[in-house]
Amino acid sequence: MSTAPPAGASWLANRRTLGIGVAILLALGLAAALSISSFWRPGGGNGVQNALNAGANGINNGVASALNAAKSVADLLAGRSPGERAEGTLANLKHRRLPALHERALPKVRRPGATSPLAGIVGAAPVPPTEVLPPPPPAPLYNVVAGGPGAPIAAPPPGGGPVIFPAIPPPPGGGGGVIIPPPVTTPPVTPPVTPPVVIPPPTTGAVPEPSTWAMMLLGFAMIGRALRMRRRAMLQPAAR
Amino acid sequence: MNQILVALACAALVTLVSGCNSKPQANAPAGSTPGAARPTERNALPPAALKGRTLLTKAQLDQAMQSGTLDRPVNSLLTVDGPLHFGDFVWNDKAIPAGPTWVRIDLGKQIMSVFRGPNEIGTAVVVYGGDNKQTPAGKFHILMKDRDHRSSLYDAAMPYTLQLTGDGVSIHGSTVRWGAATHGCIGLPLEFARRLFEQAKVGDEVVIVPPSKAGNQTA
Repeated sequence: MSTAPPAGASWLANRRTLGIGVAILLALGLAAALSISSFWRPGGGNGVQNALNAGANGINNGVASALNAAKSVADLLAGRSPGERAEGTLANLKHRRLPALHERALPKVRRPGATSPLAGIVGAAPVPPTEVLPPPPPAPLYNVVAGGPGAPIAAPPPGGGPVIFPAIPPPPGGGGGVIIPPPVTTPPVTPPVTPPVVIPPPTTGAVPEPSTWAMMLLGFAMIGRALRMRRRAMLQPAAR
Repeated sequence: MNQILVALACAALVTLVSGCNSKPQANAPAGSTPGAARPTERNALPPAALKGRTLLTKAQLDQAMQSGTLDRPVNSLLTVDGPLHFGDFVWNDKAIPAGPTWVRIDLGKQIMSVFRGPNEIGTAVVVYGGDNKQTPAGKFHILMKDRDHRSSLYDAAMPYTLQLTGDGVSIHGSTVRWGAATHGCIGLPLEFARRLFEQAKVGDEVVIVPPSKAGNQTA
């Protein structure tokens, strides 16, 4: 019997220890449940809770939602922006019409005295106006047959041109060759060029002149009078 | 004595836990406290609508409302990976519940966002008026819809026109390219303009945010 109280005390002590242990475990469990519930409460207030909340709600994009939850709405909208439009890079969708490109071209005016604009570029001399050259004078044809020292033939002038034969003096003394006079040639006669006579078209107005009208009316009046007189002349014998 | 203390501690913990669990349920029906309506709206989206979509948190929405980036509650934005190129757009209205359509245009960012209720369903790069023909900023309502409109001022085609002002400023399909500008209209990619034309109706609201010289953080 003397051992009963200690046994009861130990039982009581064991029970007390067990109760305290159970209470501690229960408290820890409740604390864990409380902390989890506070994390799961929507709109909790801090970023961790929001991140956990967004990640829990997101099904396929949980990580992206958690990252986006840390950004502001302005940052979310700015993240999709291609950037602000810088000044100076504006270009209208509808371009302003350029007058140089769209203006109707006027016909080119050709003036007779104007030189070609290509003359200065190419460097070619301007083409002189063509004019009728007079026919070259008939060159005397001398036929040197024989004898005597032949006159030297003048060298042709530089630059080309007709070869001029100098006059050959008559041979001194008799003998020698015979000079055949050149045949007389008449210069070609150019027919006179008569300028074409331009007959201006008759300028008749669309409306006849008053004198024309008067003449026509006078003619009608004379015809009418003649018919009237003729009819009267035919009726007068019958009336008698 | 210790058992009593342990029992009291347990009772206090149970009470605390039950109180924490009951808070959202008590605030949800009220809807007046900030953030109370957010879980309800978020849970309203079906799981099929969550793909490719970023749900805004209460802190994000509050910050956006305070800074002026948004003028009304927005539940979700489309998830766009990286900047859009000129002519690109994103359109995703899958499983989004019905709601009023409204459009937000940020001229500085050259971005348009089409919303159905509190959820974004489309976004695209836009072009806007040049310096000599600036696009007006503010809140407008769609005055007229014309699928095959032709400008009487510029003799130009304006497909899928949504007219905003009486003097002809409209939203219409256009050539969207870098550095381009309009005579005051909002130019959209043609396919995006067609979808917006089918989505919007006369009277819907269009918010045009002017470009800000200081980085446009507060749109």
